[in-house]
Amino acid sequence: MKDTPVTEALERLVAPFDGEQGAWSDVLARASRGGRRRKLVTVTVLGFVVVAGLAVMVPFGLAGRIVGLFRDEGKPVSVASLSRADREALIYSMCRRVDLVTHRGRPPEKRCLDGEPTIEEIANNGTRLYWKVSFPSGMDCLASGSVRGYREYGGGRSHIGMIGCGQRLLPTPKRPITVDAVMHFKTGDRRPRVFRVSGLAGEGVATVGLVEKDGDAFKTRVAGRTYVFERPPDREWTAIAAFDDSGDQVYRERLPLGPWPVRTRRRVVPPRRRRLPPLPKQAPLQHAEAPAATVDVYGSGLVAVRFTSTASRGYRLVRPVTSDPRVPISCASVAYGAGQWEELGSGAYGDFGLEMRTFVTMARFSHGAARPPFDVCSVRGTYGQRWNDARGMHDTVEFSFTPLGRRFFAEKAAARDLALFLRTPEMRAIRKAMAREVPTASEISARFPARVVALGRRSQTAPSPAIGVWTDRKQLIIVSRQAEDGRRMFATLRAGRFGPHNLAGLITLLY
Amino acid sequence: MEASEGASLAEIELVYRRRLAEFRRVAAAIVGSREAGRDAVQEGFAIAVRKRKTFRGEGPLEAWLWRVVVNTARGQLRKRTETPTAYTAATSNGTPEDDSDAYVRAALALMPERQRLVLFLRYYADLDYRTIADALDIAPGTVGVTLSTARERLRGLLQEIPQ
Repeated sequence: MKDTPVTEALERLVAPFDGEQGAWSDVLARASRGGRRRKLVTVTVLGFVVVAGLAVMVPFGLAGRIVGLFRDEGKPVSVASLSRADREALIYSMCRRVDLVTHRGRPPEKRCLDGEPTIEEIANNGTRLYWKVSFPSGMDCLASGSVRGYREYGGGRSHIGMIGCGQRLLPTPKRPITVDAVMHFKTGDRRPRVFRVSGLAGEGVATVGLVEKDGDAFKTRVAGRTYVFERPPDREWTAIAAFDDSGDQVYRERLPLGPWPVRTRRRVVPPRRRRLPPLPKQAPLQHAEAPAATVDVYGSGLVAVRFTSTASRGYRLVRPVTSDPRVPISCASVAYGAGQWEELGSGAYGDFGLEMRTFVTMARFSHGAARPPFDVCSVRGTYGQRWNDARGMHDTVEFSFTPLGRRFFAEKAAARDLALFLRTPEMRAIRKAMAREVPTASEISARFPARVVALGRRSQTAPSPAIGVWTDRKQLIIVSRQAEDGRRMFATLRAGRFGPHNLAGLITLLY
Repeated sequence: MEASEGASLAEIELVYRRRLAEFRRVAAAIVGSREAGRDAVQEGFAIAVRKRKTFRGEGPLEAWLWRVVVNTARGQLRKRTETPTAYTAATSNGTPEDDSDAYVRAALALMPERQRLVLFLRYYADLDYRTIADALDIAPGTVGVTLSTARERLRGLLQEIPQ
């Protein structure tokens, strides 16, 4: 059985144990200890029964009780009810293998091939909620956030602000409260300030207190099995403590809020240029060409981009303007259905040069990221994009491997054109004034270069690359343009807010 | 063949003394640390000694001992790591020599556990397919296929990774 690379790797991984003496007596000792351990377990169980019995007797004033027990069951939360952002955070970002699925007549969606987690709301105090998330792999996480939710860019709300996985997620008799602390620094201040401290509280914990150096506690009541200190007074808190309903302290934990080292301003050193990753021996999985550039994608996620000339437009635009040599290279799988796009991407930096290589995804190491084969890859310059600038609305260098990829780039460029148009100072001023007046299409187009034209009908489209504008002069403005593949892309503004549009999955509309 | 009732202490000790190095190497590969590997073998044999009466003699004693030690090591790994993906971080003790093998560990961690175990038992202990099948409680015919798939997969991953 000769398989040199595998054998060498395994040989290197664990060196032989040759020549080591065994300890048979230790085996026998452990074997006999195991018997004693069973007896100890029996004694412990008996002890537990006694303690549990005493706990039951508490109401009768017969003994103490166990504080900190926490039943981690609650109201099931349907995965289907999660917002897009929560689904991204709780499912796809934790999923090893994600793909895109399209069903006839429905928008495409991401799917986690590892399986979906089970989610239960285990605590809720009316403002903060706690979800226990159990993944098919056996991993348990605790997600917490706002009941009201956080507004997401591009619409929708999410609820999850924090996720923790692993140990010490739930209260136990040994540690009857959990502690999530959010701190902030003021400029020039070495002492962190508490912004928020929150957590779960086990049975028997009535109040939780932030404790000062002299022992004074600033307390809050436990509600819905949770506690929260929202922007507590700015004092030198040294610990957090849990108290039972008679006010006795049942637990105390130090808060690491001592002075932090003074941060000195350091010169920012640009990252060093890295050695190009070697090309695999296998042929590339995918190859595509763009004007003056080619790309090869390998099964491992390695992407090699080559410019054919330093004089090419792509090379000149991608060249970084600072001493930082990194440029973003990204690849994606895309899907289209029911008029909507979905993108599953992955990207990494590559060092600028005639040839650039980077692993956009480390083979199977990345969670929630696309893996080869892709539909598209692109290299973007480190410049920002403005509406109607000379660099155009496409990514600097675009490679399409599939017809779907070509359509994606065509429609994305048109979508970006509209999104950036809506963010121009002129359009923002018009949007803000929509409550008072909505100008005519001609009045709007007159404020822009000739590429913006007034339309006579709302369903009309101006020929590419013009942007068409139509208004009802009351409350509605429709902007549209034809993508290079012929599709009409549009967005609406109704009473100053974004209304229906077909740019989802291509670009995020920002106010 | 009539099934025997239990294994004797002397028989277990004999296997321990003869094959200790291989047991430790396989256990170390599973748990990701030499010290933890030694401990897993000691604990595994202690369990075998305690449960020796349950050995029914349906296969070789050595295969049964391999099963006990492998299961003990797997149990210890589960205690050390919370998820299979945490294998890389949990099994590296942070020393520079470990870092050089981090990618190999990561690659192994990404393989199904059965493939990983078959590889370890074959490469580190040079067990035949029958013993591997008994040790892992799988069909003997599955061992060859699993081993071949595991080799192929690991080789592929190693070629993909910049060394």
